[in-house]
Amino acid sequence: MEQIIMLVLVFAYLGVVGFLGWRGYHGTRSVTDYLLGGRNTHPYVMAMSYGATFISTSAIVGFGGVAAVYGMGLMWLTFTNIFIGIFIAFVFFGMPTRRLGLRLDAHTFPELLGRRYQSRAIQGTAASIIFIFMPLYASAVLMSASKYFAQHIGLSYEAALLLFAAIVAIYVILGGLKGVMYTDAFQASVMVVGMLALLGLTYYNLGGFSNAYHKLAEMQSLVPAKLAAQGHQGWTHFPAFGSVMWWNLVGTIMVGVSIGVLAQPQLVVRYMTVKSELELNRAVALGGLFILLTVGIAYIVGPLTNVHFQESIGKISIAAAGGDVERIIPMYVTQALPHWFGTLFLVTLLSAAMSTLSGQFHTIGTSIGRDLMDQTLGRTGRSGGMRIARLGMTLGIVFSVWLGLQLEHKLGKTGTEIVARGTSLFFGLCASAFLPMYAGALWSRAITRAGALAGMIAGVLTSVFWMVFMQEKISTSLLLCQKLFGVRSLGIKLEDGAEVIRHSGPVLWAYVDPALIGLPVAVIVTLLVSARTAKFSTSHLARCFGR
Amino acid sequence: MEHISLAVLMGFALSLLATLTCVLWGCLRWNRVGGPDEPVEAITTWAAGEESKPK
Repeated sequence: MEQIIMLVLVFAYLGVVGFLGWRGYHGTRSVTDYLLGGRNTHPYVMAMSYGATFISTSAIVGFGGVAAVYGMGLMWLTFTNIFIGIFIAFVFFGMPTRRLGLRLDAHTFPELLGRRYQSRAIQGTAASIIFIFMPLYASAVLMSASKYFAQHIGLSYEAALLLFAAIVAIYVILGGLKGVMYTDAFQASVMVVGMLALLGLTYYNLGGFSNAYHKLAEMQSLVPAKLAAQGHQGWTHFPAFGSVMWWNLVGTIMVGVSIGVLAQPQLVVRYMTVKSELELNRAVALGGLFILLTVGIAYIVGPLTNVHFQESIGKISIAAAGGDVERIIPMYVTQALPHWFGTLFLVTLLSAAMSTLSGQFHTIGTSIGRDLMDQTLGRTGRSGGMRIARLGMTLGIVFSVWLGLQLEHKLGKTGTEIVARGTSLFFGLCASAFLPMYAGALWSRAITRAGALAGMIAGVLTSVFWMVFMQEKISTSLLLCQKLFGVRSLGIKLEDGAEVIRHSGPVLWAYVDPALIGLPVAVIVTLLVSARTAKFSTSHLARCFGR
Repeated sequence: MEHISLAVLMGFALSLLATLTCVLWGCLRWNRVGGPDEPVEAITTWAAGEESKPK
């Protein structure tokens, strides 16, 4: 009976999503409809779509699992998600972006940059960066959803991944941004209900608010010696300053996401979908609440799963999940909470994943279709680039699915936070590549075409170098550093055969996020090259800035 | 609450404060359009002009 109810709920959910995708498909008559939802999106739809695209299963399952390992220090990520990801993003970036997009009739993020800097090279390069690297983030989202999907429905991980990707592909490819945003708004509402229920049931299960934290604090002595040596001080404490865990949490997991959110192509495009600033003002309030009720709850529940697993099987969460960080939250929901909630949570996760994936696939498709083929290479078809955009989406989806299968196969049970790291790496890369010239496009008349292009390339190259040769987890799995230099990271040296982490004061270089290096390099290069190259005409700047 | 470290509590408090800031901003500017919006048609006509096209 329970199985039947679950199937009915899931199919009802998919039916609503299908209906909204169909409405998007029918309401899409022009390229502006397909790429920008007709520029007249309702503030609720805009806010929820932004929030649901920003917050995915990566946040709930990936970062929720990280919170179960690292503890409640992740609440700082909730703060940066809300303050930077919503307030700063909407007020200081969203409003000027909407105006600039309108003035330049830009339809995508690369097009906005390309028209502001009057450069097809910038538009093409930005689109290529998105097309190459966004599948990494998309695969992280796919993986986190598929793991729970597989566990709950009783499918293999591979089958769940393929089925899930196919469902999202259909409505994104057909429905364009209208379909994506309508379904996002519905999915965001489902997410809020699901997460509130998760919080309530967790506190109820653990004997109330105060009891739950009392028990969690008492588990301090149960921190494994290996984690304690890395700076873990208990789940109700922040890791010790300057320790390996502190750098992992702050220098890798938090920094990329916190800064990178400002330059996410799939989020920036949403500022351009609304008719006026009124919608953005209203979206600030709704977006802030949405983030608190989704990621805030995920980072509260994550650490508390330790209490449940300790009481039920005598193990901390990461041990109970067999070293698989992304399994912690799904396992907790399946084992600790009522079965009916498992179905609601399944729908919540489907919503979180589908809303983010749809935005990602749409951006990947428009990057290759609109920006690269149509605008940069001038190969416009009769469908105004829509057909190429759809082909680009299909390519991006296939690449993401392949990555999702490979990453799980190679790193699935190694204790690596693949989902959280994949997400923060992409966010960090976007910060290094796009943030300096995006901020310059909105606020500065002094940034030149050459400066913007040089800064973007410098930011990407520095970040990629840092990922391949310095950041310990990534360089270790890529093996290139080991082959060339005999160590798994240049931030680690060998002394008498033993690994020693290189450091400068409290800075452990092997744990520093690529964005912390790539972004300053990109800013410096942008400013230096801009200072020595030709400025834009005053008429172009007057048109961009409206005065 | 005494079981939770000050650093973590600060994260909690700042999260709530940031949410409050967002809600207040949204409520206080609920009906604020933010200056006259340029007529879309005029701008798109201009944007189609030669000077704005990427080189």
